Amino acid sequence: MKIIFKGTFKIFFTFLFSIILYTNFILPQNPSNKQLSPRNANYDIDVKLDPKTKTLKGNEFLTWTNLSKDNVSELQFHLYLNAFKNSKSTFLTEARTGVSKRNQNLNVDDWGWIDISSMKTIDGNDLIDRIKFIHPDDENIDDQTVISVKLDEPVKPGKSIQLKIDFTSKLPKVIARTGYMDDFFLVAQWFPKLGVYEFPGIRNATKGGWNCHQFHANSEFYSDFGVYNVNITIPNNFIVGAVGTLLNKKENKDSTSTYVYKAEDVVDFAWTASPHFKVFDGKWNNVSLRILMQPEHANLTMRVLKSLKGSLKYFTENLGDYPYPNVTVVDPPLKGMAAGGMEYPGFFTIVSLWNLPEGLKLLENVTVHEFGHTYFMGILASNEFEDPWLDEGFNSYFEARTMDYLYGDKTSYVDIFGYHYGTRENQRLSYISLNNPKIANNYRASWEFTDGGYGVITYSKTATWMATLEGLIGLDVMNEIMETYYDRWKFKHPSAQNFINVVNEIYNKKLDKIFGDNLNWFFEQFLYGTAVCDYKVANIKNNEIDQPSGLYDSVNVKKLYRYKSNKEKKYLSSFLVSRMGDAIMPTEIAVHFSNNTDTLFIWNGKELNKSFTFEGQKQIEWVKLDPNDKNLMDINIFNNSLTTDKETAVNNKYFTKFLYLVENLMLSISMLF
Amino acid sequence: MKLIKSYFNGISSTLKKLKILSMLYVLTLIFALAVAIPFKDTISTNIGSSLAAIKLLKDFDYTTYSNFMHLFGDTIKPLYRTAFLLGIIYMLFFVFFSGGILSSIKNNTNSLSQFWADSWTYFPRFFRLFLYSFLVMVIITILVFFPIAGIIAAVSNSTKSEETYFYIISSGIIIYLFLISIIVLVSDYSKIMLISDNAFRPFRTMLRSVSYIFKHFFSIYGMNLLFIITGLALFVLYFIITDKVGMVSGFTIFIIFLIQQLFITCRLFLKISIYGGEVDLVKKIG
Repeated sequence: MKIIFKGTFKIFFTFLFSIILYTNFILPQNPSNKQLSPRNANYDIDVKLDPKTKTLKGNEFLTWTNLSKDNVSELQFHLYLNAFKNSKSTFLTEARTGVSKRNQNLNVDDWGWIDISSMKTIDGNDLIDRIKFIHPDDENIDDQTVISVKLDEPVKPGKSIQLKIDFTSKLPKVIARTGYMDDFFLVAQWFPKLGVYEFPGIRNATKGGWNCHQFHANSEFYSDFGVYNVNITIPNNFIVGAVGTLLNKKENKDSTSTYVYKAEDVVDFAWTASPHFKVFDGKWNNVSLRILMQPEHANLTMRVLKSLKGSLKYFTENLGDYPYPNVTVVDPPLKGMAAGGMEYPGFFTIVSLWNLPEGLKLLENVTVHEFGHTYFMGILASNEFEDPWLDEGFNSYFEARTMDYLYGDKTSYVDIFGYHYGTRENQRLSYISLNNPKIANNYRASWEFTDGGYGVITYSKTATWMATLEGLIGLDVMNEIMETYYDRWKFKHPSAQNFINVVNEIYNKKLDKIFGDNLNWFFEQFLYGTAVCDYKVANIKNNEIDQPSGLYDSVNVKKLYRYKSNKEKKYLSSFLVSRMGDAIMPTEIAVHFSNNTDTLFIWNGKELNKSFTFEGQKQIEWVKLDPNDKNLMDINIFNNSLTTDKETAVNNKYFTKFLYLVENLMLSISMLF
Repeated sequence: MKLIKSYFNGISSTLKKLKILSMLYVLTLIFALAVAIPFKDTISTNIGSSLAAIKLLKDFDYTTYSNFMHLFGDTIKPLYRTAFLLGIIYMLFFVFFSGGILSSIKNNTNSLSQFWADSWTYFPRFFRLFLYSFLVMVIITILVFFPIAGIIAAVSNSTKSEETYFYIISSGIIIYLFLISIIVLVSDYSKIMLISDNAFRPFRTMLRSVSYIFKHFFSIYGMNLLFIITGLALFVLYFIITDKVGMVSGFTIFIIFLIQQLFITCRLFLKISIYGGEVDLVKKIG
């Protein structure tokens, strides 16, 4: 009995220890250990990669829960890989016709596609004949990136449907950040994936319906949250990385291994494989970090790690907690570089180059940017098809903040041989350098940038007006807005109005309506509109006021004014400010006078021309609009100030530099002959 | 070591040609001012009354610089084209003057009138020599870079890392620079031969100088390397000094201006010294 007790005790403690070990170190952890999202689209997938044919054979067990109050009798799926099936797909048509600048010269070296061979309900009802390609955006009958499946029985509110789907995916040669290159694989957008059933309360929906757009050349993705259990089978020599946590790896008899991954509260699942990765593991607080580098880039790992840890710290402190247990960073090889710079929840690809000089922070920049997407694309999960700026723009804004915090606001992008600039500077330049800043407004779907401007407007312009908003209301208020927005809308698919409501709420609470009842005017101009901001100091005048001299009659007395000393000189000084653009922004104005005094005041910025006048013994020496550089939307910083004394030192400096450059150039050419 | 003696003799002979050096410096300055003054006017007109440019005084400021180039770049670009054209004209002037420089070294004179006369005398031959040298440089460029492009294309399928491309391109550039330096030497020694032999066939003289250079390769290329190192040392010295002084006030800008012009004079000094050293080396090695 005693022996039995001891044995039972031992078994009990071994079991308990195993449970603790399993739950603490193997099972995916989120800091709060609770369900974070609705988890209404859950996938159990078994997939096997054949590296020779670049083909995936998979079966997917999908559980979808209807969160709406509607009876849903149709499902819609994305079949993203079919964008690379033929040249007439919407993606490739848009790429070819120049709608997407970044994919303009895209060549498909090896086609990719996805086929569904079987789709059954858990009861065994075959739905394969119900599958129909649909084209919700452009009526392009050659596009096969979205399917509709009519159901026999509608899914009732709060109820779930379970489907078993068999599929085959042929990966394209790396294109638009998915596919293979030699033995490197970035397996992304690879399985039949549900769209989002939107209903009142989600984004702008006024009634229930599927939001399932075709794959466009400019667009990225939009999905619901779920739990992914994915078993990946691949030859033994491959090293694998994926969204989520590796629970188990077992070697099979056929020289393959099966990797068991689990990811909770995520909107997507992607993975990578290559025999050549150098694996680096790290830790930041409770978050496990894994960096999969190309061997020739191994010496850059510490740079990636520093920017990754810095991002985790900055985002956690200024936006909100990082909820996932790990981050995986993937470095594609040179020829697979088209797979670089892409993001999935807690998993992203970077772009690096052999021995990239430390002064060129492109590697750090892409690391910070792609990491940030886990927050905006992955956790807030805005609709990247319809509101790309909510992800790319907000992420670019935070990318600049993080980079400038980590590497200095004037050195965070490039800092080499005395030539340096910061990420925010770079973003602003990108916007102000547009030949036509009115080419498109921010608030439009990604495929509607038919005249161009998608990249700059979505990324750089948004980041720049967000930085300007920060300047207008102050960093503390901006931080509270971003923290509130994140906390309130994480795992809920926010819309533009959701964000604006948060802005107005915090603005009214903190700033007591100093710029009006709300800040809608700001968004009307820069988000919904295409207003261009340009203020100018048009002139400065210092006119001496004539002092009385000569004889003046005054109640039977003739008064003589004889003297007009310098001390008594008075001036009517004025300056004219002109609004050259159509944007209206409250603007600070600094004025410096000849007696070395300054004044600073705020002008509402509304009038087209506004004159400000001062009277006294002092003259205006210079006037400066926006002296603290808060308004980054102003496209011309040179006409923001005017001085009565021409600045000569800078002119002389660049004159001598240019003279020296020309002399050296001439001498260098002549020394050849 | 003959080459070291010739190196120093080249430098000391230049010290006796300060009139010629001064004239060449003034000419260089005039050419450069022809572009630099319009450049200054452009800056002054566009941003002279703005306070924004002050950010460029203490340090480089990208926002100011990039905003300037975006707004006024179109007014600056024609000046770059003008600078390039003036550079070509200046180069032809230097081809012209090299006859005078080499004659003054050979005859150990510092007379400006003789300098001009000799420049005119040798210009037709030196100009033809320049055309041949230019042609050879073009051919070398084609011969080096086309095969490099071919090699890159050939290995692109099997190459997995950019490291390989780096080494291929770097090797190509090193070979190219070496060959160009040889052509520069051929041009220099051809000029010396054209003067010393009073020859009239530059192409034939070029061929002779090629065999001469390879016959005395280590002496000739060794001295050439000494002058290149001297030039690089001057560059390093310039960057150290300007970094220490900075250009943050009217006074320091003026000081840097003087240093820059001194450095340009040193470059001209070095060019004349190279000729002096080469003439001396030819005398020594026969």
